[in-house]
Amino acid sequence: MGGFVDGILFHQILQLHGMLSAKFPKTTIANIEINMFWDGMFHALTWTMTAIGLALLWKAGRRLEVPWLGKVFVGALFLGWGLFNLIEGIIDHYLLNLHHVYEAQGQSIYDLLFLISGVIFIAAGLMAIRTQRNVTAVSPR
Amino acid sequence: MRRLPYLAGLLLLPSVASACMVCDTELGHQVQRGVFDGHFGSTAVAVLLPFPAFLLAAAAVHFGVPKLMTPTTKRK
Repeated sequence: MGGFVDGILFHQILQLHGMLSAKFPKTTIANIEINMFWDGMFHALTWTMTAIGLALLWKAGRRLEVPWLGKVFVGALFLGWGLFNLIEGIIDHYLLNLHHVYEAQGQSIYDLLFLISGVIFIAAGLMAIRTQRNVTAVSPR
Repeated sequence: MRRLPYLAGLLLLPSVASACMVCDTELGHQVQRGVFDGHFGSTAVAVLLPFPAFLLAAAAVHFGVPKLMTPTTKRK
């Protein structure tokens, strides 16, 4: 879900960066199309991850010990979103320099804020899950 | 009647093939050269690298981080 927020909000709606905008700056039509191709590859894998997540959720829904609560669900969503922001931010923005959050500025405070958002989402997600772990849930199963 | 969908599909094929209006232009060739520039494999690995890393992290959260530092049996 975090991958889609990044891809849809930052790549497409706000157009702050593309998948390879540090290598192919989005200043020509050709470069915009090259970025669009790699954005598509990114979205294809994001879709696959979402499908895997849905399959795991379906499997978890059959386990009686899994607390079937909205807070745990939202916590897990934030945990995944935070993990994505942290991992994608470190690999793409810092290690490989494929792109930066606000490409016009190159590596900037926005890259750091992206990482910090990941840490905050992970902490918030874990807290939401842990506070509800021992609550007996009404299960739809 | 059963063949109608297949015939309709055949009729639609040429329009799909010509849907890319820039593929046969200089711009289209520039894009193709940019995407398949001899570093396609390494670029694909770089672009897709966060996903296996994410799966590993998710597995670590789900199953617990493997105890690499498990104390060995004490020698007597």
